[in-house]
Amino acid sequence: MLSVGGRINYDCYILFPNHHEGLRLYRELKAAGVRCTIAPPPRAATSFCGISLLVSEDLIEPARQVIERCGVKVEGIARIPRKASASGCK
Amino acid sequence: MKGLFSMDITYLDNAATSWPKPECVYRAVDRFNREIGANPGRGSHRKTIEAGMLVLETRELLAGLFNVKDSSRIVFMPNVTYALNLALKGILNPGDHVVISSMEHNAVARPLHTLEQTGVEVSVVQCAPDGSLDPRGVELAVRDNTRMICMLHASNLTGTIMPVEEVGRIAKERGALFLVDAAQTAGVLPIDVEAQHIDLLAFTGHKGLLGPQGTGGLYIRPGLEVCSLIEGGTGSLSEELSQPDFLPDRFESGTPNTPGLAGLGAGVRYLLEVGIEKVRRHEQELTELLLCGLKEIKGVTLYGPCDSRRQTAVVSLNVAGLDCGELCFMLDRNYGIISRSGLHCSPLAHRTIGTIKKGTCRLSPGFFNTPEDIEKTVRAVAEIARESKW
Ligand SMILES: Cc1ncc(COP(=O)(O)O)c(C=O)c1O
Repeated sequence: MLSVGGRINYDCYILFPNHHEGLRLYRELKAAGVRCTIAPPPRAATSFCGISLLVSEDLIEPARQVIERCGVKVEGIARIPRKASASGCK
Repeated sequence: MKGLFSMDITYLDNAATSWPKPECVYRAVDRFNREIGANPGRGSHRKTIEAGMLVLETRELLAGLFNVKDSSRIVFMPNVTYALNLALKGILNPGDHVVISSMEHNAVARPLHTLEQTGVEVSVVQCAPDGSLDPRGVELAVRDNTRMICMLHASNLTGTIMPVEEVGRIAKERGALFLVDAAQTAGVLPIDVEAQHIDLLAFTGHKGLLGPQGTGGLYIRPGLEVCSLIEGGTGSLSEELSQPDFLPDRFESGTPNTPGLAGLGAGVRYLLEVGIEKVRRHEQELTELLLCGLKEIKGVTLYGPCDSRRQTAVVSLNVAGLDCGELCFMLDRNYGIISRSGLHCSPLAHRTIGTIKKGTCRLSPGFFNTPEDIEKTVRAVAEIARESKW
């Protein structure tokens, strides 16, 4: 786990029922300037479909607003402690 | 265009499948096969994302064309026949009643024939000999147990345009579902699922939408329960044995025709750029020219409305003293003109217009035909009619 000054950093994985919704949100987040990365969903969060969108914790609120505005169907958001190897959205 | 026998080819079989396709369609299929090639909706690597994006774009383009708000309600299938089978067999149960017109294609008539043996009741509303339908006939046929009204938007035999909006209104008022077979009209006539009260819209990608063969689909209105006929891998909810209940996954098991869908997207984009009003205007002008020319030829019988405003670019004819197959063969062999003879998978429609015994020869121009193609065809039919034994 990567911690800065003793604080654990989290990554948020937005989970979808299917690729259709995931790709729609990916496009909308890009257009809104919210940084995100397409990634396999973490097993711990159970896999709804083959993709999830990895968003850093500080961007999850703007991402939620885009989800709301565009009516994208989301299955949930998994908050997972960031590992050194998977260092969020670069 | 030069064909097999080094003759200039005039392709007039666009009602069967449109040809040629716009250049961008060929390029989109080729680009997918060469540069992407991955399975959409499976895994998360960059290529599956690219493939998935193409499928999403095609779905959204079609949603825009048909005024569908939620593009996930459009499911892709190999053609309109599959889409119609899903809409009919996935919804109708024993004891349900369905109303159809007497111009329907076998893509509707055959699945309904099968369903009739399970206890589904079918009423056929008789159309006029020019293929036209009086909506009052539909109104009279509707009963308390009518679950669905199913109708083509335009006939593949006579081009006759059906009163879709009026029938849609009847369906809505009487609480029946409205299924439209848009095989002959998607990409050619305006389709608006809201304004026309369409609950289920079946379309094929390879005709007016200018896409490759092996593409088509079904729009399913939100809230409508349809049983899946094909189940399997969807790339979603993989640990569960039951088929996903959300769309499009519920009806899209197995690897789709992604190269075809890439081409279909390019075809629809092309249509939107050109404007379907322009496509319709051009096809209407060609139809008018064809009808005017053929009307003047002694021995020619024309079927359908014979009015380019009331039909799509489909003209059925016979020449006295000639079998329709002979006419088609002579047009092909001697003039390089491609037409289609026979019953056009539409025995109900042939019975309606009175040609079930002899069939017809069908000429169907498309957006890429020219007035010169039509003039050549009229001259060819005139020569054939002059020389026939009638
Ligand atoms: C009215 C109509 N319905 C259904 C079909 C079947 O189309 P497809 O072969 O693409 O399934 C056609 C085309 O032949 C048609 O014209």
